[in-house]
Amino acid sequence: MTQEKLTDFQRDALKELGNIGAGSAATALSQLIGRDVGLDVPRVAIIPVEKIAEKLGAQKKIVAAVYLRVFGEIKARTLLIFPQEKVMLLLDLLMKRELGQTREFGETEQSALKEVGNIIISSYLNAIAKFIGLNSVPSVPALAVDMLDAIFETVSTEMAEMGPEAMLIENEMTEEVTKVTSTLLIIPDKDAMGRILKALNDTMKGA
Amino acid sequence: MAKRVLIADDASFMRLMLKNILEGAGYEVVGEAGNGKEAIQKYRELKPDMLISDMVMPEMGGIDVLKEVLAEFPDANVLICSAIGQQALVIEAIQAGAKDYIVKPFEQSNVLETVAKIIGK
Repeated sequence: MTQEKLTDFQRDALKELGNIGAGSAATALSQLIGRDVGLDVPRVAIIPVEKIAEKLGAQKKIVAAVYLRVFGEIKARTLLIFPQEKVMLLLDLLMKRELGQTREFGETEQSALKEVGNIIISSYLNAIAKFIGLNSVPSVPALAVDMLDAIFETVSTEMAEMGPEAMLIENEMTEEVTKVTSTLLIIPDKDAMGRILKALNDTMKGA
Repeated sequence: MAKRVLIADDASFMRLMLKNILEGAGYEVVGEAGNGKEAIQKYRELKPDMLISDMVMPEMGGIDVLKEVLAEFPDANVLICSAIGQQALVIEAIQAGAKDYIVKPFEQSNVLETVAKIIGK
């Protein structure tokens, strides 16, 4: 099943799952920052795994990325990517500093960013569990600051275990004059996509 | 005398956040642990009034920490504080003996109310 092409209906259902997760993650991020933030409607796309690098664009761009594995009823790999120039602004907000004050990427800043990744991914997993009843937990987060293609090359070494499709969710958060963009990539393992689609189907039948 | 709390979380940012909230309310944070094994060692050493533990940590997860601490100290007050808010996992933690469960990100007032409910002010 997982090697078959997704139907338009399945793509729509997965996008909706992405939207539900994004809403939950946005609320969590807003609570973590402790300020009112404007959140644009996320752009959710289902793309073939081999097209991820191409889709992310700007391969030589330096980014900060939080990587988490997901275990349980859904097994997946997730990557939360922030452009380097936006990370410092996000850290200002997280650490309750004046904008432009964060200039170093020390231990506390790295820890804060990993925690953002943990909370955002967990929000998605919590929303998915509530919506389609599949429970899963994230691993301890890992953080990398590097060129986008170097980061993706590391993730690609696990390509054999990945399913053929990935969910790409682009978010934009606005806090007064600050805009923080992020890209979340969820790559379900081979069997996981079939399980998600079946659960979505059962949920819709039950609705 | 201030109630003594031990915080276990692999994120130093989250430990700092919790520490500021608790100390601001008059609790004494007697120790911090960055992984599950360290949490158990520090619990034995410090015997705090409460352990606040994350679920997902290196070396040993929060549920195993909870079980091990309770096996040795049956009266221990363990509060789980995790980003994982799925009902099945919350129930698992409570059934394993956690006094309560807070989902991250949390409101400061929620943390203080929960801690006060378990160990007082």
